[in-house]
Amino acid sequence: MALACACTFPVLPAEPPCETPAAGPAPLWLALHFPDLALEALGLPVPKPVAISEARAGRVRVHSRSPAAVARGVASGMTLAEAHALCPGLVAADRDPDAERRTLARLAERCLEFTPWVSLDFEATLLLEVRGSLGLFGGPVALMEKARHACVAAGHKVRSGLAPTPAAAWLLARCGAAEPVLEVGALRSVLGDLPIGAASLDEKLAGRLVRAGLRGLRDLWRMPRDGLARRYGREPLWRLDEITGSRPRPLRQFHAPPRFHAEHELAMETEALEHFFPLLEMLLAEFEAFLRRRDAVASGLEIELRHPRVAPTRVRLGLRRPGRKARHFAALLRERLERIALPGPVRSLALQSASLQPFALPATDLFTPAASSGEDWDELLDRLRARLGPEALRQPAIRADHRPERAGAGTGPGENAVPRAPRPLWLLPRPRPLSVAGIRILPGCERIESGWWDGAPVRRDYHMAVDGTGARLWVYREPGTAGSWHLHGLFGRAP
Amino acid sequence: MIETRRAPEEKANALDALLDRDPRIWRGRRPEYWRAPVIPSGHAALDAVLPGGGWPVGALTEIVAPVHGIGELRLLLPLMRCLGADGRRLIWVAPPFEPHAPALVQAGIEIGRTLVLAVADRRRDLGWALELLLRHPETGLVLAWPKVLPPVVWRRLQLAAGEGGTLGMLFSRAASGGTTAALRLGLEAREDGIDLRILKARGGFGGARVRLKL
Repeated sequence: MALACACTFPVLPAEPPCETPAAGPAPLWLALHFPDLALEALGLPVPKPVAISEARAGRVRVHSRSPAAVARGVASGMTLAEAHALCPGLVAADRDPDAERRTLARLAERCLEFTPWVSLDFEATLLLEVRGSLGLFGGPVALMEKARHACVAAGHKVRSGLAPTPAAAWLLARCGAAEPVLEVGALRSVLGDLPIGAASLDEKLAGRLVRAGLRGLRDLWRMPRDGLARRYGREPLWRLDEITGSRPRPLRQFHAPPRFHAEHELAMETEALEHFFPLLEMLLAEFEAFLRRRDAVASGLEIELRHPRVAPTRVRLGLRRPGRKARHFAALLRERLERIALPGPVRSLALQSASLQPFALPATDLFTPAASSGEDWDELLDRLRARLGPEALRQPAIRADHRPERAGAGTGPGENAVPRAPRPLWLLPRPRPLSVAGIRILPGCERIESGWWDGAPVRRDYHMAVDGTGARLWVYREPGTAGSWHLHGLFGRAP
Repeated sequence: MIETRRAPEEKANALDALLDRDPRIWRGRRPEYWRAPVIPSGHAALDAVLPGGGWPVGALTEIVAPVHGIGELRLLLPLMRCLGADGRRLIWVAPPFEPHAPALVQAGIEIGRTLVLAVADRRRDLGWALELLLRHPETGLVLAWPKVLPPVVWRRLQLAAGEGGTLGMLFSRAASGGTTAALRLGLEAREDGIDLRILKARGGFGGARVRLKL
């Protein structure tokens, strides 16, 4: 009681809190631009010359490139063929917008420590509203440095800009580090020298403006607005107004995706699965409730069994089809835990979710029987995979390759790539040397010659043969030689 | 006491009804009473000697072939095509070699519904995986190459296949004595096909020989 009395609450001001946002401090935007995001998102080896390509205006062009490629003269915007000609060992990869978005979202989560208001609306850029955070982080320059450090520590090249409007901050960040601009009034003098091309205008329009002698943004600002709009449309005016803040551009706020994390202490340390599994089931039930509240499904989860004095045991569970049934999770985890040797007794359990996705109702058909919905089937495959390992299940697939050992190792079915000549139902994992004693080699030969370009060349004459037991074999030898025969497959019978 | 008062013809009808109802009751050389579901094998000569005229559904079949590649897969291709067209799954469990996808497509099998399951530890996991697969209603056919399978596991798999209405084809090198398979076939290679001998058939008699040109 004495303690409670001693604490006095601060007296609130008598006047009501002000409600109009205009009366609050004007926003200040920190833009963090990642010029090499396309490269970093793919995680390619940096020491090699790498170019990320994208299809633009009907041609495959270089979007971004690694420093090694820059040193060889590869520039963004040139066609990929040109780049290959300049730099023979160039590693080319397609741009992956999804990976870029994921990387940016990860960075945004990291930047939530500086401000709750982050937007991803500008390309390859994070926009942070930082007016309220300046006091905490020791001023604009210190805050900018801290944010840059956080991004560099995550392995990204970053440029930053600080300005009272999002578009101006983005412009500053893209054009290289400049002094932070804190007031709207100072924007014109700082940005005036920037070239028109920087202002995210349409390429053709920027070209027309440059040909008219308007090189910098300052030249645009000096033009009469009505004349500019009549001659070039309203777009350049909109861009200019976005930069100065007289035409605000609404931004979407980034929200960190929900995560589930729960822990449970055991009453006593135990090694027996029967003793701690009910607690795990309880955690899973909590997880299911969490998912149902958000109408989400999880594509996997991770549990951690903590032991005294030893490193914790982690079990990661991935699902073929995202789900939220605690019963299904429990069945899979039991399969896994039953065949794990624990390094010691378990003291506590923790469960955390992998990525969550919104729940989508499976599309059902009035006339299809319920058994063939495929959902149970995926559960069955999950169970098989949990016990036998992720590599145990394979689906035969076809790849357009003449080499038999590769033709059956595709990832997706492409039925037009089936060879016309008969193929054996059984293929040996690798050809086996064969002694021809007692084997009758049938006439009729198929020559397969391929792969000289990718380091696994094949030059073989395939024949059918019958051995003493009656099995029909698929054998080959190198053409033109009397070399040894190899067994590569088994036919059922005369095809 | 009640039965003795019944008319003799009524008793005979009850007996017939029971015999009709339960295919497990053995009736000697009366194969026309066999009512268990079958799927035609696609080989007319084979259908003629199989009880019911096809592969038994919801049961295990053991195929004894001394070597691989004498035609044991070609024998089953019509069945695989038929089940694939029904939208059911084909699973190859622990095959001795790799099933070659282009050859499967050439044979008209839908490889999108085909799965290959590798089992590293056969002694521990094979029976478990087979039971799970055979019990699932979406499975059509399970092809398996177990090296040894204890009799208890055979019986469990037989029950699982019955429950799921699936076909289990188990390949072995030599006829093992005490299997509970509904059908046991022995294959021998011939110059232009295979010699097929029915070693045991539920609801029929063993001993029939067929020569199939494949």
